[in-house]
Amino acid sequence: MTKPRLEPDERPGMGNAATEPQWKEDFPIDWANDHFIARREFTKFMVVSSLGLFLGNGYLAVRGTAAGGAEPMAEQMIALVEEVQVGSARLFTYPGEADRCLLIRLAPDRFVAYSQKCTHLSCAVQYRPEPGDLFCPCHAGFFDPTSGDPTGGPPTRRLPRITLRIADGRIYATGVEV
Amino acid sequence: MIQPQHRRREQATVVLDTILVIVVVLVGIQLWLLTIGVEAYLGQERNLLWPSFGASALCLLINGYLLRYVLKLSRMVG
Repeated sequence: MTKPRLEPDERPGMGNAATEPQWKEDFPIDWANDHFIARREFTKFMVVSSLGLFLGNGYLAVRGTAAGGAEPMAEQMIALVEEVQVGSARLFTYPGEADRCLLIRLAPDRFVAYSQKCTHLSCAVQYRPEPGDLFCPCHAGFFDPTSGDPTGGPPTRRLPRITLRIADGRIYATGVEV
Repeated sequence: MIQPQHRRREQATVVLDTILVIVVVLVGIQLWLLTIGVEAYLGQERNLLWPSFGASALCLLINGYLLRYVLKLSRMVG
């Protein structure tokens, strides 16, 4: 298929194959050169972006490794032993006022405590004594109350565990194990 | 009549386009690796942080090599 041949436009300034406008002769554009330079500069920009992403990843790796060790936390009394019945749970905050946690009494002499924040999308998990699990109602996530490990639903990481110390009928939170 | 230099530029642009596609894909992979790094950092999963950093470093090395080639190509075509 051949292209229809356009008739030369005689109006001044309207270029065509027959008569190019004067400005094109005065200021010729080398399009091949232009395209080459534009792509070369864009490649440079992308490599600089690549360097930025590399540095960002390095920063996270260094910062994550440096912050890896368990930080000593202040001990805090959270409940009296007699206040928590077997098979029940009690809410408390640790280590900060906004960090809500669950203290669960699994057996007369066995207490466990976990962060209440679901490791999927941070909804509050609930202790259910009847099926014997920790349940996140947002997306039906399940955790094992004895270990905090995920047993079903979207969560893949275990709940942060609050380490406890019991002395003189009082329960103390002593730290957080992620 | 097409100038030889003009033709060389056109050919080099095709090579450059191919390199640019590879670089863009590698940067996309690095972006994905960064999201993995952020998620691992926030989830305190330290076992993923260094592998994602290593993979990102590899992408940067390839990109650096390709950029070096592009600059060399640029000098070659004049």
